[in-house]
Amino acid sequence: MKVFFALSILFVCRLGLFAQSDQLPLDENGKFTYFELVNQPQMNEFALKTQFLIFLQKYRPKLKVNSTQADSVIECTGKFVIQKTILVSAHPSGEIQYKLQIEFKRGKYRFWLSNFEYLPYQRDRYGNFVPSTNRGVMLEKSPDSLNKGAWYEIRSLAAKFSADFALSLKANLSPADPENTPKTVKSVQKVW
Amino acid sequence: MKNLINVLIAICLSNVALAQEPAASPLQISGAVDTYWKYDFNKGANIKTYFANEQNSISLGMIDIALKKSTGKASFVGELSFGPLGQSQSIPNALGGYDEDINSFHIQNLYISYAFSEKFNLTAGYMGTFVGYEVISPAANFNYSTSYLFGSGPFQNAGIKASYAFSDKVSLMAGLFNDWNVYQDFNGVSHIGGQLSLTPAKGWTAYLNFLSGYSKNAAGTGTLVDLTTAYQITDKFKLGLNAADYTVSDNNGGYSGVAIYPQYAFKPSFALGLRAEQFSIKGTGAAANSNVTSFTFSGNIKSGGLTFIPEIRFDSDKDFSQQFFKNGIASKAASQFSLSAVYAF
Repeated sequence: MKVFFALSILFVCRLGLFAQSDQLPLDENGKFTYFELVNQPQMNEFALKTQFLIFLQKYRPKLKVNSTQADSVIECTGKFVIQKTILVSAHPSGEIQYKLQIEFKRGKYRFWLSNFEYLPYQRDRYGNFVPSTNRGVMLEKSPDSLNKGAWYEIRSLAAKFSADFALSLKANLSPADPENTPKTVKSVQKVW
Repeated sequence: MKNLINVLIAICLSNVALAQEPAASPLQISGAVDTYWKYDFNKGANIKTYFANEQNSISLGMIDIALKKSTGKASFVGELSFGPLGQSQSIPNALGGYDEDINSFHIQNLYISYAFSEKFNLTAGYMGTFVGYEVISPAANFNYSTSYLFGSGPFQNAGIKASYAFSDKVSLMAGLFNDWNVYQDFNGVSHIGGQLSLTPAKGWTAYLNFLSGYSKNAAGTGTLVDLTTAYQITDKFKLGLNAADYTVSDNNGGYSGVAIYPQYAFKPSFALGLRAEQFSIKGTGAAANSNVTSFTFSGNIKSGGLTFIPEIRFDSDKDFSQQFFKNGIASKAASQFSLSAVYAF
């Protein structure tokens, strides 16, 4: 019984121990930003932009173009939904909206994700989870004491999403895109 | 062995995690539980709006469990509730009645939905009503006690409805419905309803609702028009409004009312709100209308899924329509203080 109580206390404490270290870096304006500059010497500006537009199609409607400038700068807004998992089930608990800006030049491109805003979800009268407010809370905002752990975990998820998104973006903007290249199939021989 | 089992249970219960949305849509299980204590300053169950009605008792609200699953374009929602708030106080039992003695499980939502496209959706079944600002589940309301407008309107509508989103800012719903709050319609599907949803500006939503039809054994055709709107004016200040008018044909009564809901969030975990309501019961025939005014001050203190709601409420009933009493004598006023805890998971 003593062992049970001791271990139970340890697990309850675990719920409160959320790491602050897995967070996005801050830019000079104090905003969380994920930035990368990627060299792609085999591709020109047009090819990079075309690949990006194909990539956008896969992400619709979660990523939408806001504006383009001079054909080489594209601004998008996107969102991803956070799931709350309890045992074997999960349901949306909120969403993080962000802005993506990407710029293309011959042989290289750079992109950054910023303006992360969190919108909590709430179950509506029909049993569906929808944003409980139309105004998001910027992730840079300091958490209050009652919700500190959950807030740091949301920041951590934003960092993880940014890293995963960057990997997917770079894979799609590479010269030989594994996702778009058909796999070769060995011919089936009649005599075997 | 018992200790090992207990430890394993502790491991599972502690595994509440946040994660990015998975590629497939899993079965969603969610719900809420609530409990309250209320003290009426006239020492009786005076304010008869739904919920928080038991005097000086640590009382139960309800537990409700909702299941939702989406597969491709189709989805279903099934939501059951148990406990006084979710049974005899709000929705009919399996027999279609509101009997304290023979209540069983209770359905809040039971419907299937199909999204023909991103814009067009068809839903059929038993659903929470589209009318009004407040709902049955206290997890979705700011105030714990409910308004007269909520109590007088429908709670659920069984029916079939089609929704079309013209844009991110405008959508329209139209449908056919059973009588209010019944699983089965004994005089045929007899109600038509519609909702125009607008997003005039960022943070501002407005719903114009309409529901009309003839219910079994009713004195006439009842027509309900309702406006529900909420505007998150700043990060901290939100203003809500609900106005409704219900009229039964041939001068057979009805009701009307307006309620405003200003709310101020001092920080994400603490907000204060007011509900100020003017409610009128329409007299039948030559009878005069009777009016009730209500002011409710509520706090919301949040930590994770838990919301603690201290609340104080003052009702004024100059026409004695609500049968308030004090020391056994009819009274024009009633007031109550309540503490409630709501946990949504």
